[in-house]
Amino acid sequence: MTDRLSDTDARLLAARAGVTLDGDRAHNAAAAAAGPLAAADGQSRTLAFEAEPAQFLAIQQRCKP
Amino acid sequence: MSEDLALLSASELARQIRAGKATSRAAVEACLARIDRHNGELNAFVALDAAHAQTTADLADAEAKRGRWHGPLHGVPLAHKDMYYREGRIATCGSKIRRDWVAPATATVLTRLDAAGALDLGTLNMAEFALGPTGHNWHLGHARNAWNPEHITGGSSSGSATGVAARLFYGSLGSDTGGSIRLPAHYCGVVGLKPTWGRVSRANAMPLSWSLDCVGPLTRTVEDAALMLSIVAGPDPADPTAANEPVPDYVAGLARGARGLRIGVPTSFFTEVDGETESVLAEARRAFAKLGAEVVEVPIPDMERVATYFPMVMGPESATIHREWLRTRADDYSGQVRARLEAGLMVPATSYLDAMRARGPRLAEFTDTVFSRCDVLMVPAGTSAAPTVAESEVTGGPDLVAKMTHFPKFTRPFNYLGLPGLSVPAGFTKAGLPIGFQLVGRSFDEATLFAAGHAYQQTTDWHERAPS
Repeated sequence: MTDRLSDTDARLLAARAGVTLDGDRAHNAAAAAAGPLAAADGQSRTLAFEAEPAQFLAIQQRCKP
Repeated sequence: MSEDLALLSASELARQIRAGKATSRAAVEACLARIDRHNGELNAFVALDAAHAQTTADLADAEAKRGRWHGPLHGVPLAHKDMYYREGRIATCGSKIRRDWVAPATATVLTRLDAAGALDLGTLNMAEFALGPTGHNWHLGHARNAWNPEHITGGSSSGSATGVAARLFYGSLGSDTGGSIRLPAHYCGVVGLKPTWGRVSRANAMPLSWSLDCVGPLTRTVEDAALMLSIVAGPDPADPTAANEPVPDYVAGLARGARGLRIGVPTSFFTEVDGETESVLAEARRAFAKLGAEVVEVPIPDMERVATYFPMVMGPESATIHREWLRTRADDYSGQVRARLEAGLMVPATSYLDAMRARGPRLAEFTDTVFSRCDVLMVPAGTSAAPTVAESEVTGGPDLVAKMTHFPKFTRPFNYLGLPGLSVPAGFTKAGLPIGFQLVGRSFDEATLFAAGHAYQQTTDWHERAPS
């Protein structure tokens, strides 16, 4: 996965949400998201139903005292 | 009017009102006198409704004379972050966009505090849309730290923390998405509880990130925090995310003390603090040992990874909530808040879901690793005491998010994991700024945090110190 969106890609991505990123706004937004994007990558290799987001509450229940 | 009454805790004031030794009206007047003297400098209030508070105090006193008691906070003046809606009242949410927005309904937490007899003095300053760890607000003016107005309050519950510290009211509701209760509590020398995700209803409160947002109290004592949580916690038909968990009697549970508790001290990640903070934490560990707790070192999972999942959740959720205004009123956000929201647009759905899928397994891993070795984890709430307003002001640029991440470094991971955290005042720097520690517990185990924190406050007096 690419850690960092190009300014053009960032502008296009925002435009898909209907938001205009002019000037250096696209550059700054892409830079801000770059680190976390790289860190989160990899969870998709977890092939287990227990990792589905909706099951957080069930796991939370199991983690009570 | 004597201001001495304003120095009591909420619990003690409630006891005095119940015993006929104090009146609600006298308490309101004591608060108003302090607000008159200090709020101009601290900028804690967005809107003060003195006349309403005086009228409701008189009603509370009249009912007390007739032996009619509404609840455990009968006649006690509180004030809350300006994001808890009250029908017919403006809720600015710290923003220009909602400067004149009138709430159509009342937050469940306010309804529950009303039913418990609490009074509401008005609405409090906060970071714009609760998105900011420092207490800066470019629309309403920055809130200032009661211990030194040159320094930040922390955020986003800025007015709540500095107002409780300055004894302008007896307690306050804040909200905590990444540290917005615990961090300002640490910086301002008050108690702050972020409950377990789902412990408290969020109905008719302003959302920032629905997977992370928690409602909790900022107070002068742990006992007050336990009392307020007892009142606001529990299931709510208006909020399906409010957990269907029984609410223990947190105040009764305080008697359990700290003897025999295993207090865990992490060996990594949470160790990166300045010298004065480490000294305060070391002294607090010794205090717990004297109380009969067993202080044990515990290994912890990879918290750097846990911490980096946080913005993958908050970014897209907050950008989704604000998307329409980003399209139509982008210029009405401050530079900092707009830039942070726009960063959320950069996160693909697959990355957001990666972070959400990891959440349950990471919680299970953390619980197995940490809470098999201790009952409560003791960590710093911040890396240092409060920096100055000037040195922590950031309005934009490519490194904005990195700079903002520094402040809530030790609080955000527990929002992602959904675990409860209690910030407790524990000392001061040489320059007179407060430092606290954070106790973290298992899911839905706020009672153990309260018991430990209350025991600590029975042998220390940091929480009794008020700014001059």
